[in-house]
Amino acid sequence: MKKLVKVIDLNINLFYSEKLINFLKTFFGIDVFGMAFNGDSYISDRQKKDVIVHRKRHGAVKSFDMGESNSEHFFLIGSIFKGNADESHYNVDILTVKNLSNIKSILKKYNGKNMGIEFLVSDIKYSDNREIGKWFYNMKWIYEMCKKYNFQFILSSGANKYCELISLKVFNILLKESDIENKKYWNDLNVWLENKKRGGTFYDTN
Amino acid sequence: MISMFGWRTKKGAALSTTLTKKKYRYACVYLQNNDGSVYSRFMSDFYGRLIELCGSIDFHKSNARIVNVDAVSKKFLIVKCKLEYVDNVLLSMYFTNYPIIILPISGTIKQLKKRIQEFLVYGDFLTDS
Repeated sequence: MKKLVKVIDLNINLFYSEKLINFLKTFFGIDVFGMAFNGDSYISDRQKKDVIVHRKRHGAVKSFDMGESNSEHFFLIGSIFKGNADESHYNVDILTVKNLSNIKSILKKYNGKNMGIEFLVSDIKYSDNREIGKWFYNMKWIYEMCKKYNFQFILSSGANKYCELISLKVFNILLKESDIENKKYWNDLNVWLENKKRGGTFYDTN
Repeated sequence: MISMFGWRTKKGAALSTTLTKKKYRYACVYLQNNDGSVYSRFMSDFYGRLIELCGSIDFHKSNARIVNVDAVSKKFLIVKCKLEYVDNVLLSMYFTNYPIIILPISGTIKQLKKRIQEFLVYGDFLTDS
């Protein structure tokens, strides 16, 4: 039976392999993976189109390279926000937040651009307990801000190693600890990603 | 004596045991680098995380402890804890500073062994590295 709501991890910085994808699906319950690929290593398999989301760094041209045009793959442009509000993030699909200073002005500036605000769990995996507690608080705050300014809140593993990968169960615990309703979160993320895939205009139903 | 559920009970003992029986879950982690000392260091780090993240009262309530299971490789570490606190245990496990992979939780040792076998099949690329 096809799952209606897919579990999505949009930031996995690991080398792509079929085994990894199978493992993540079977053991971790993840359905859609956001991965960065080199220009020559795009996955040409059409069946993987719904499973793999290609991530590109901001600055890379959103035109079709050789690999992309053949595979007709959907990709998202990502950028990192480190606290500098003057930096330009136009045409960015996902903004990965590393520092919360000036984030409110960024949210006001890009209001209505259908952008995703991403939090990486790998950023705090090795932090002390105080930092982890603060991170949970910040996550809730950002989630509320995203709702207010029409951004999509995204929680990703940001895994650079196998041990940093997160299962659906742990994702849901992290959301629960931040008082975010997990069903609503997954549903919203699915809708947002589908919207991005269609490339259509974002309509705020609220 | 027949209980409200239609079960035959001995002075209500069976019924009360069923209702008050504490449920446990088994969480299993795969230790990527097991050089012998990792085991003890991981446990102290994990307990430290659990105490500080969830509080010492919840730590003691969770009743988290290591279980030795026969025929399971030393690379796998099995933690038994109360069902109500399994989220806290998983969260603390994830935030430990060791290269571990958390396997799906199980309700019985039998199911856990099955999962470990599946892990060895699907995750062979992890165990090779």
